Amino acid sequence: MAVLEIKDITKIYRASGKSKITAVSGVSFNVDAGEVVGFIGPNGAGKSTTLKIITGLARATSGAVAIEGNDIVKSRVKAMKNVGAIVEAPDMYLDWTGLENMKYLASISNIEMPSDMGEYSKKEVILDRIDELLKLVGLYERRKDKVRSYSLGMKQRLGIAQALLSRPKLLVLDEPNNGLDPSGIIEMRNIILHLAHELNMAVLVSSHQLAEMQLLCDRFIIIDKGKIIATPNKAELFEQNIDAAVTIATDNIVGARDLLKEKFDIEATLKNGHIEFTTAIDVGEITKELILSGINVKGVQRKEATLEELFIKLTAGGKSKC
Amino acid sequence: MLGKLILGEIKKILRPKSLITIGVLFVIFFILFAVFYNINWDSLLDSIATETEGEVGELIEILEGEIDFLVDVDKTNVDSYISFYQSEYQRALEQENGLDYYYKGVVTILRYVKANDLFGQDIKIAGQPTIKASAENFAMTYFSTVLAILYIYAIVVMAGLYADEYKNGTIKLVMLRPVTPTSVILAKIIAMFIVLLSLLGITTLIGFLYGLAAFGSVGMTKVLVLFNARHIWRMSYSGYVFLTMALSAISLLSYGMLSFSLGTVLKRKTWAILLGLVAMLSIIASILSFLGIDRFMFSKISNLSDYFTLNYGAPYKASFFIAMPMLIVYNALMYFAVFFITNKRDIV
Repeated sequence: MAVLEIKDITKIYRASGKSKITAVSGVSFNVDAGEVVGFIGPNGAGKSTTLKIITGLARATSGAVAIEGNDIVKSRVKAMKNVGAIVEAPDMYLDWTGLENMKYLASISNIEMPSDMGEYSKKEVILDRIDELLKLVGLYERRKDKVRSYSLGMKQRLGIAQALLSRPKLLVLDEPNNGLDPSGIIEMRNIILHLAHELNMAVLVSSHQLAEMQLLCDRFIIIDKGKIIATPNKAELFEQNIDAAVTIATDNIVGARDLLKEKFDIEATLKNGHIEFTTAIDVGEITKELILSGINVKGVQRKEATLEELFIKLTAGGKSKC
Repeated sequence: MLGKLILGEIKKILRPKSLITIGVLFVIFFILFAVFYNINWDSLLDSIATETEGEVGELIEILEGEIDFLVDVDKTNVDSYISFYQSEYQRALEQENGLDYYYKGVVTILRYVKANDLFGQDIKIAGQPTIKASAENFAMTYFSTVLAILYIYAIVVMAGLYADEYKNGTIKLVMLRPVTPTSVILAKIIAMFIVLLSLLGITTLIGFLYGLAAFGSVGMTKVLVLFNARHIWRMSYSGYVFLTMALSAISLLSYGMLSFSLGTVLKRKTWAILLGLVAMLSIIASILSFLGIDRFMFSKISNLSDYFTLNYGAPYKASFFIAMPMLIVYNALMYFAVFFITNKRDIV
């Protein structure tokens, strides 16, 4: 059974007057334990609305969301017991310290106690868990400072720490790298991969940092205008029908260009000692044809398809708006 | 879980800034009040002595609680007094001038004096002005003014209890836990009640203890409590002070609830404060009093202690038995609106 099951959710907002806006339409997908799923789409595509519905912060007009089999509306408490999340931004109580925030949130998180607590009290176990998480996100030294004094990156880290308090089975992260510096982004990636692949957590991440998402996620759900338009996994990403940039080094660049035009209708650009072109056609096929035609191929370089290219292709440049 | 939620909400309400502000306000106010309370009695007695040229005794008696209409009443003329005030009561009803409650109260007192043969005795009507300085009196006078500060505190702080969390985004943090919107709202309301009642209790206790040290208690001195302008109860003054404070606590909580409901439903603190203050300052009630229906208004019914004294400013056809059920209905409607809306609408 999937940790997160979303069945045909639709969300319609009432705009001014009688007009209505369909933010999400017939969205269905699952997230299993141990996988990191990237949820991407242009601004206004319906990502945030979907994440809010998943975490019970908004109600779907129709459809259902179940977490570990518990409906988010009908069995909210049971469902949310399995969820840790940052939605939109890691808003914390600014006048409290990081530690105070964590203590308060732990007190209302219904944290399950280990079966063997030894001589430790429940309070000690929870404090220990808080310390462990603050160390994990690198905030232990600053735990007694007011959150107001934290940078955006530190708030983001605290947001991750609070999301992990109850050892959730589903982690929902909206722009987890916001405000993080490059080393922070790498740390965050390693934390998320550790949670998913070693602790078997189901992770749903939404972000605009597509290069980072490509490194982080096992598969992707691409949403546009409220509808899911593609669900490639990492391996399938490279099999997508995307025009790849190809460079072929040869001592007969004019001959190679003419042959490509004649055989494959490819417009290649002449460069010093090589030709460049983009195509979705298999590069092996092109190389074979060149060699068979007597053109000496010195080298072939194909730039692999990226998530960004797929995203741009599917969403018409990522500019679509709901 | 509800207990933990409540503790968290109390911590949110008791922000150091707001506590320091209200603490400083209370200290300044208390010092001023304590000083002027003493000065007032001395200067009042002096001015009475000067202006009345020896007729001090009679005036003091009046101020001590012997209300003016009782001064000349005796066995021979009591019926004519009753008949006069009864006709005034009827006239007030016809004219809808808002004096009907007062005249009905006067008639009730006169009938009580007649029935119990209390002519010429030192009758103390609870809630009427008295110059006898005592712990109870100090606490009562101090309390009535403290209450005004607490009303404003309740309106300002409670307006933001949900609205601020919505604005700052922290409501998401709470709602992303295994809790229901109902339990979060309930925790906020209970926390609000605990904080307001504690502040009320602490400030009143300080006032009473100061009064006790400065003036001593009048203990079990009996006063006549006029209930709903139609019934008279004999009660110790201390008991009456306690009753008034309990009734005022209901009023304070109702204002807190009003402000909290407005803040939650509108999700705007400023609007909630403005509307709360409009209700408190009886602005709408003043307009509606011209229509003779202000007895149903929140601001008119919320102060239930008005129905336990001879109240000159009660609305037309005012009655405790309209005020109390209406207050319950208003509070129930506010609870319902808050619970319904927070459960039905999107949290963010």
